[in-house]
Amino acid sequence: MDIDRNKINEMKSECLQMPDYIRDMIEETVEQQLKKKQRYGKKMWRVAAAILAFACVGGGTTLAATKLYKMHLEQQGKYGSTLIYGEATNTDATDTDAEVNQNALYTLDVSYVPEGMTVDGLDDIYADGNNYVKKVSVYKKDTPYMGGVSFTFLKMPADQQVSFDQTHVISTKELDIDGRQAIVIERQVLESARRQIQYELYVTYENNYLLGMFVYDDTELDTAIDIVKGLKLTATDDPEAKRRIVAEEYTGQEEATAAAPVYEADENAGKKNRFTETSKESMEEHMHQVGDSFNVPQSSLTAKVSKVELLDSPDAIDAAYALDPVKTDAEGKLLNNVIAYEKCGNGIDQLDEVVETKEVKEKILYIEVAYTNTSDQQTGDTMFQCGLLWAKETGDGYETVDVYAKDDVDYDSYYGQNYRISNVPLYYYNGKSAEEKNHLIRVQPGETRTVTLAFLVTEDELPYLYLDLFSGNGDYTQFRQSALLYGYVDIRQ
Amino acid sequence: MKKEAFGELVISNQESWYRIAKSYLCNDADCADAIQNAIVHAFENLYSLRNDKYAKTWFIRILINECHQVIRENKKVVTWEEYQEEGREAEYIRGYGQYSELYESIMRLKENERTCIILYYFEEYSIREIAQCLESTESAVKKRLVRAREHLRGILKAKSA
Repeated sequence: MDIDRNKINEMKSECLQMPDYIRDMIEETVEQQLKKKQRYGKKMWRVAAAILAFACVGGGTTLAATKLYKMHLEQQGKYGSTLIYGEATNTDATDTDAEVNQNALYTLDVSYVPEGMTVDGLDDIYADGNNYVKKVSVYKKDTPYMGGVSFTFLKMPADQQVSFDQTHVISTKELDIDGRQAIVIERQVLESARRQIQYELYVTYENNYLLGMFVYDDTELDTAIDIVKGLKLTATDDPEAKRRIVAEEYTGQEEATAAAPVYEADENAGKKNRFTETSKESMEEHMHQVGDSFNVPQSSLTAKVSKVELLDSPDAIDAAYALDPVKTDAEGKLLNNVIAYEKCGNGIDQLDEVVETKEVKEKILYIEVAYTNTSDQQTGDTMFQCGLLWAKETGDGYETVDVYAKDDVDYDSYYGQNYRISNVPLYYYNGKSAEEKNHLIRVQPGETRTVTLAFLVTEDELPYLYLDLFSGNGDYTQFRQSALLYGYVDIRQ
Repeated sequence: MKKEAFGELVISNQESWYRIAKSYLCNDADCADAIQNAIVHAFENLYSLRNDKYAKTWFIRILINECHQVIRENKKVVTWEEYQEEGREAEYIRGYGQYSELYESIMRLKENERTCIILYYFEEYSIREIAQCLESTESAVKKRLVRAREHLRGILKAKSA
């Protein structure tokens, strides 16, 4: 059966119109979140607004390198830099305005993939059945979807300048990559468990195409340049050609900034079901202990946290699937984590700075949850995302604890240098299929399935740990109303 | 991903978030709650996003969870299934005019099939992206789409009979 796309598009535009108050609410909420002080996050910098534009038919052959000088940098303060695109400084360029084909269409191939790396994003099939290329990543096979390089092609306007403001810039340099102008911007990178963008690489192409590449800190700049040299853009007149580039079209940043509305922050928005203190009664009424069986909300399943263990090595987990690789020493043991307290600079006159560090012992918190179908009906696909809460008892109730907060240090955020501080499980495994993760699919009447999961925690967190099995990832430092109703599991160690 | 970039992504796709929430929750106020909670939740956990390219599917996963959460937290929330049980489809569908039959039929699908249809046809996500949104496999999504189309055909046929 075919579903009429035109009909769906009309339905979307005419019937499923979002009320204005929801639009206002979304924009206000985003604005408030952007104003909030970051607890775990890293530095912020501005980006230009992007809209998708679909290229049309062009013609020709594989792009030959031509000298295109369309970019230059302007220094802003000590560490800021503005990349300006659109001012030709060399009239020798063959890509004159008269020759620009704004409707040119290209396909892409990545002919050089470094050893040990793999490419992703070339063969995605979209809803209309076509194979487009929007964003391509090349990353190490042993750290899939992390680090490496990722790039898109930007369709720059032919008749105006576009600027990209950059902050936290350590150095810049201009290169010639096979006859194309390239600019490399090196960013400040502080030691962290997260992969960070160390370089941004911009390369001009014909017809106002601009390659924008992020190079993460696990990848050498030379490797990224070799990947760029291996990119093959081929002009085509087939609008359904495989690996056709769908470029992003950048609008000017000033325009985007001017259009942005200004909102008053409301700290309580989105928080009505989240709070940092609760009564003894509300916390303990539904609290579960390890070994207790209790009902799973809106399900015929019961759950029991049957095992909670602390491990020193990921090798001890009998896991078929680990979501992220875990850093270990030569003996396979976890390293200590280092909590870094960071004071954020504005990126123009000051860089970010680690003002204090604290070494903590890292552990793997391994948990088994047994789910039993107590009805006489097979279940469908049931999935729950769980999270950890840090909380402690007070005289008459409970309050959440920011375990790593330091009152005597002036900092903006903290993060782990060897391991991320995260209440998201390191992995889920439902005992049947690595791909199904924590999905419990078709549990038969009377059948028990055991889901195993593991978190990375530190010894500092152990006295405060509660497990929220059902209400999503949440936040370490906030109670959720639903989690109280269904009951936190006391897993303090 | 930087907060500003993520903010841009959230705002530029807001119609899409509404349509997805609407496929779970009948009431616009409930949709607003779910979307707002999802935005707050996503910003709080942005550091855990492993790769920028998955920001949209990651956010959809959070949004779907928040829709379930709104249903769990508030017994007054009316789901599409409950509207159907009460024979109140017309109340929900009113205003959709000439498209009501198709939309109503889509909304009659089981939740997991309906989500696939909405994400695939309305929001034009690829099979791979839908699998990421639903933390499922590509083959499972393909199967759900096939089943959804079959069921949709049956529903529309029954309506026209």
